[in-house]
Amino acid sequence: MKPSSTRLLDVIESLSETTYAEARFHERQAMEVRVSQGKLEQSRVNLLSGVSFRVLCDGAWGFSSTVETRKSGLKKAFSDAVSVAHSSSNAKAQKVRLGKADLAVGTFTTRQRGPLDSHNLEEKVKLVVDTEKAARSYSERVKSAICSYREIIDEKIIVTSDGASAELHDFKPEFAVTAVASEGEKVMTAAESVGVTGGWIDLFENGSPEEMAKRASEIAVRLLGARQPKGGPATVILDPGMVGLISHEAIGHTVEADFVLAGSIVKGKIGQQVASEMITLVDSGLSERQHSGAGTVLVDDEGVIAQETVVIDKGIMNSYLHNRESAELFDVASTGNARAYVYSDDPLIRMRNTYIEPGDYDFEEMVREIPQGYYLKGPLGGQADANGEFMFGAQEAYAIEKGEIQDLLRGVTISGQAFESLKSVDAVGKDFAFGIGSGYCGKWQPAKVDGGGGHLRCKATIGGIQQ
Amino acid sequence: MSQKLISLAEYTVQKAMTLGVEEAEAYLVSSRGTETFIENNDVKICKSEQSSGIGIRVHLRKSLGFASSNILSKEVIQRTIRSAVKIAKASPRDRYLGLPTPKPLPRVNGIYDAEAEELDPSETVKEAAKMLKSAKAYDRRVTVDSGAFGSCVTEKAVANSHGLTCRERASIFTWAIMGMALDNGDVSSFDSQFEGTHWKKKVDVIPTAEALAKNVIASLNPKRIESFRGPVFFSPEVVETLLARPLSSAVSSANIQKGRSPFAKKLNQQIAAKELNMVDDATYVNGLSASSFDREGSPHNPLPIMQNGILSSFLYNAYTGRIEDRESTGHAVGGTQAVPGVGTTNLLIGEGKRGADDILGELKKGITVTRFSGNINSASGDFSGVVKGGSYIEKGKIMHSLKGTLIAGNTYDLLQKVSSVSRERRQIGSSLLPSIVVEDVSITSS
Repeated sequence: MKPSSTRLLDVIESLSETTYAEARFHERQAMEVRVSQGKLEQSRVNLLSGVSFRVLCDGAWGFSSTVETRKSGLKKAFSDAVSVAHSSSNAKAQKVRLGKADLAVGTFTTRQRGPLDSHNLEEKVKLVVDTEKAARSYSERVKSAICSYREIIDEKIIVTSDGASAELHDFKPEFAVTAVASEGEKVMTAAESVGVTGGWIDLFENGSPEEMAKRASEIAVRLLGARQPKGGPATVILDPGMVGLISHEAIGHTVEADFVLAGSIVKGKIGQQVASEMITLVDSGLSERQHSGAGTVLVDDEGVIAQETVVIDKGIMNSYLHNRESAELFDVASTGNARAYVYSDDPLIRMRNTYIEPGDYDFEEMVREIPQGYYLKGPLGGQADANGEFMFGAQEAYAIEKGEIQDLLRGVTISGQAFESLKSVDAVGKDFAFGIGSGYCGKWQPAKVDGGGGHLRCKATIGGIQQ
Repeated sequence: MSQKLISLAEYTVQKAMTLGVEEAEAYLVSSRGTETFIENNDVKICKSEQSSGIGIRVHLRKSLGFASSNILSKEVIQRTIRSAVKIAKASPRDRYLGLPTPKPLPRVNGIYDAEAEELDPSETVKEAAKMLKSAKAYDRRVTVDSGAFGSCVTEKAVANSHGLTCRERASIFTWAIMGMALDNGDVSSFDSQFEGTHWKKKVDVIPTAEALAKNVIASLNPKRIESFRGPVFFSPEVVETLLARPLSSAVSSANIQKGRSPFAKKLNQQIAAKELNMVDDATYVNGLSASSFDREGSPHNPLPIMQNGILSSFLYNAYTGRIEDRESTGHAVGGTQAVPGVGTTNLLIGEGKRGADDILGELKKGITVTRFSGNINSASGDFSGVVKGGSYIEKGKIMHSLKGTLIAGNTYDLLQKVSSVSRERRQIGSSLLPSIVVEDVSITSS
């Protein structure tokens, strides 16, 4: 049962020994339908609901959560948070202080074009069943397919002892099709997926389920006959999804203020040139470019209005990503990047929608200027290191010879030093799209994020095969 | 709590059956614990944690429905049952649906330590602080980005409409640390370490902190090498990511049945070098997945997967077993929030005959890898990624750490090219794994 913000506020004001207290009610209703080989693998609804308290006592954090929403249960959880804060205050070297922030008051609802609840369960199950079938019917070589639809509907109430009081409503659906093609012992997979913040129309804005099924199958079949590229340094064009991944993995993580404080490669680089002047990199709670980014956050889990943060401005390092604690240490305002995945998680510094602002190149022009290189499409998993060395995968790789795109090659991993690669950028496309919205970022807890940009040309190392 | 969980499970099954379903199952989990997090070389936050969940599965006219909730009140449980039934009504039929019948369970003693129940939160603060201090004391260039020490007691119960009921209680202490080394502007690769045990007396954070410190210091001052093909010495951590995990996926009957494994027709055939033996064993009590029954209440028993490189068995849950008209092997996995899947428990790769140092000493020209950052497609086996915490080896000696080095190939081909398996094994979460040398790997330098 949902507690009122007044009840939550009463509880956090009941003990005087805290210098700061925050209560967060979070109810998540999630569902998933997944079909493989015509059989339903998952068809589930999940309710996850509870209240957490985070307090500062003597400069140390304490945290506790409960499913109990009656006043007695809330008070017990709150006093547990105070008690564990006291447990750690002696061991804490640097006492926590909180910086200034644009605190949210009111109700905040993310935009939904085509409400998810106007499509009933039967319709969602049928769509997944039909799409999975469509993927398999594309070719005899597509021996199996998987299709899934998921949605996460969140409702939150966040109150803090220094004045935030926000009620939030958020909607994040996802749709994915994977095709598995095989021939002899060779097995190849290809996936098409989309994840947004919004409704049904937002979800399928850039492609219908049938189109996604057809494309996944077509690529899986073509990959059966594709050879692996030879590894080594190369000029590459990244598609918007890959640009999202590089923005998130290679740059984004290094500018999270907690990582900066621990000694990431960008420590002390504010005001310095770190990338080509063609690069303006933004991390935004609500992007003006596209409202449906899967990482859309209107208010963060410390009750701070999520900002549009320019991380790199025309190649110059401009800002890190902050919560209220790190903002105080850097003497800036919180950027609204404190996020918690479920009610029982404490907020951590996380990205939202991370992207590179479009430039002025046409895609064709970008290809034409490459004597020899690769076009990489379809982001797979990635990771970045403390020293800025990144790796991430591409589902499709196409060789470029004398300004023309050649045959499809097998997917590859590319790697490089993030800031060296960004300095090597010599063309940024005028198009824009988000492309990693169906994925999750992991950092002790998951988070829905998105990333994108226009096509981009830079240098990186291809992890191919040495003969 | 255990008694309460099992009676709630039985209550749920009874209530579901009154709605006219053919079969019903309830899986309940309840856990409580405390955890202290480290961030940026300091204690960050201490958390007191309590959680619970119920997953309800129903089969109605051979259609599947599932719903879960983290609230265990009878009112919410009844609502959750109705949601599951509603989903079943919207779902297509599947004649293979079926829940397991009760079977005798093995005794898996020693996975519960009463001391976990009584642990004061300040103890987790102390252990987290000790881990941090040990990493920093190893070398002043070590910086700890994050870490955690936690303890928790978890109880679980399963009941189904065939009269199956079982419950179990386990304690787990876990600790993790992630960090890097900083030396005059040089930032090393990060490294992370994770350990866990069921018993308080076996908690020892110092070796974990020192392993992290050793790895990050060793990866300072990296150099590039020329591209070549040659032997690679994989640490147990990399054996886990690059070999054990894709292999676990390839021997899952769910993947075999969906054409997502290259091993479908390889049963009783040589799929790996004869040095390799692998067993999945939930009765191995040191493993963090030790337990007497699986997600749907089927008994856990040791299952040899590979013997002398010959593939000996696939993993089944009740559903995938019914598709092939055979019993579950006790490998239903998952939590309260989803229909069970198929997966491993404690995965053990058998030890070799020789020490890791002797094996390393015989490499003429090769590399070592202690962390792999890359992508692996478990269906095709193709992998490609960056070598982390790696070193270049010449004439059996470690020459220097590596940067800008990638490895690529096919993980199932690697199995055939294993030339050595070390005598020493390390426990990584639920797995117990040796170091392994694989010949003729493609090594690319930028």
